[in-house]
Amino acid sequence: MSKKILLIEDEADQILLAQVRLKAHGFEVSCAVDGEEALRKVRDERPDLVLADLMVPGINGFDVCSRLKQAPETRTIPVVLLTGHSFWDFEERCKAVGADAWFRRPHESAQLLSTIQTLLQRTEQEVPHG
Amino acid sequence: MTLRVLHLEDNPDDAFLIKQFVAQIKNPVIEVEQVDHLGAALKRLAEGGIDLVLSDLKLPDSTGLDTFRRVRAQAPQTPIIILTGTFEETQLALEALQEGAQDYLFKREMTTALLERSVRYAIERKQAEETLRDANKRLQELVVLKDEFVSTVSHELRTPLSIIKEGISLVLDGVTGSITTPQQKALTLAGSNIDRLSRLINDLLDISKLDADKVGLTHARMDLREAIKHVAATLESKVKKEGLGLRVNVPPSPLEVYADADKLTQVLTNLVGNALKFTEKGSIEISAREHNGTVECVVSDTGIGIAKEDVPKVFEKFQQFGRTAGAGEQGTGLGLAIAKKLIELHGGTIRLESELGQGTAVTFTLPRYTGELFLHAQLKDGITAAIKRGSKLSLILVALVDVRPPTQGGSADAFDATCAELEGVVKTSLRRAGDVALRNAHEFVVLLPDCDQASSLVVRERLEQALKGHLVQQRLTDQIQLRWACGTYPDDVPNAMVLSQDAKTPEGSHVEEDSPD
Repeated sequence: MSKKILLIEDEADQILLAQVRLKAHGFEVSCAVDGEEALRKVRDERPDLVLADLMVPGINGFDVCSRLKQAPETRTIPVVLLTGHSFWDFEERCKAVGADAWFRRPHESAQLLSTIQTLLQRTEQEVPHG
Repeated sequence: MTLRVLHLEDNPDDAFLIKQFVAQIKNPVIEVEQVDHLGAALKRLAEGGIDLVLSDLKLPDSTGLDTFRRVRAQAPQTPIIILTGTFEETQLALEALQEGAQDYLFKREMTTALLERSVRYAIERKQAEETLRDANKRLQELVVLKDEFVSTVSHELRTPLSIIKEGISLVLDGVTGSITTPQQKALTLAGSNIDRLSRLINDLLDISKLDADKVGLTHARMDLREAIKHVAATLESKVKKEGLGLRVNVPPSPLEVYADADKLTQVLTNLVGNALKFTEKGSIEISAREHNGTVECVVSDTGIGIAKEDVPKVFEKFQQFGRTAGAGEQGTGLGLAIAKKLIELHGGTIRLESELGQGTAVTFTLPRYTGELFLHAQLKDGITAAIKRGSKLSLILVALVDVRPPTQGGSADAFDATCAELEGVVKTSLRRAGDVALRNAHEFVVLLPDCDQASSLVVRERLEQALKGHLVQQRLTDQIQLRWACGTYPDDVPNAMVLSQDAKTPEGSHVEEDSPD
């Protein structure tokens, strides 16, 4: 069965390209354009991984990640954060909210995909115990 | 143009006299308003419209510099000329000049010409000052605006850039269908230039932060050899791919510096990247050594070199001298400017030597790690933090003195060994995470952030008990004496310089000596 990725992104062009890329690699892609929708979709759709842009309307990527990582039922879902912003402390903040990986845009798609694969394999191995 | 002058004078004769002088001035035409005490002057100034103040210093309700200061406080943008009647007042007037008065005139030597010239100059000078002040303020605003601009623009550029990159890479990766070889070549070219644009944005952001002094270093004691080896390992495959050699030449013992490892890695990556770009055959070498109390690192290549006249410009922004880059990534013209800023931020120096057709060598030096350097950095950080938080920083110095008579034949080694043992005792006596203890031969320096004088005395007491306890246990009380010095910022020592001077001379002013009991 194909893995489901929830994409949190408000820029239409980014969404389009990401969908093409992820679907080409056999992922099922669902999309949320703001933080509230993202949290609802995580609850309803149970994605295998969350790929989030930091700057989305409402609850931002950091907060979405932090909430997912605090709730016992969503704690194990890997979260990858993306930003085009030049935060000084991007890395520290990503670590602080418990993100599993992070990329500064523009990034290499190959790297992002291999990170996603690794994270999905890791949760697969963990699930039987959890 | 008519100038409106406020004349402050309580002596009616002097007032009459000045009025006569003023009446004769034709250019500019002056209308004078006279008041005989400070209160009236302040009231008139508050109403506005006064172009210049002529003021006596001695008035019924105010005397001396106080008169000048209050007039100036009331109308900071209005030029003031002081009128003096006595030699003493002239002395005061000189002080007023220091504080921003435009001129002073001795009443008894007054002439129309003198007054006219003084008034004219006072107004011109004041206008020039105001213009300068405004320009300066505007300039400061612009600098802030520029920083915000660069930071915003770089974000705004990155978003479309990442979309273009992903679009191209989708086609290039064959996700959208198969492509021909020429198509692939064209897109690869586009892709590598997008990466170049992205590096340019990052470099621009870096240099703008460095220019604005917004880059903070995360200092740590580190071995420069490790950073060199790390960079060499990362870039080795790239260098080999171009058929070049990469040599690392470092001594067997550590090269300790007090530096930000990430930033040094950035500098080294940059320098090796440059070497790679401009070297067609031969090799690149990274060597490092200790030299004159500094750690010196040289990145050299056997590349095309740089013309003599261009060498002085290499550390400026956007200098690329039309060199045709060889292998490696295309440059941004900012790499060396960034490297220079980063090295200087570490208190180091950087220079470049080159011979056209022979190669280039970039040498940078960093201060070698020493206890003193560490202490200075810690003190600086500690004081900065204390100022920021409005808290206090205390410093305790303990010097161990070997008081054995030479005839007793105790060895210096044994004393050194004891000092090393006591270092452990000092460290275990400190209880908070931010406290720092440092041994410099036979001295200990203890830094206590967020610690006032009273608390520092408690720590001193605890340290003393622990150290004495150890000496008693080792039967060394008649052989080793402890000398103490304490200080708290900002109570005892108003600035960092004094505190750090103290750190070097424990026999300084606050020293008390223990009796050898």
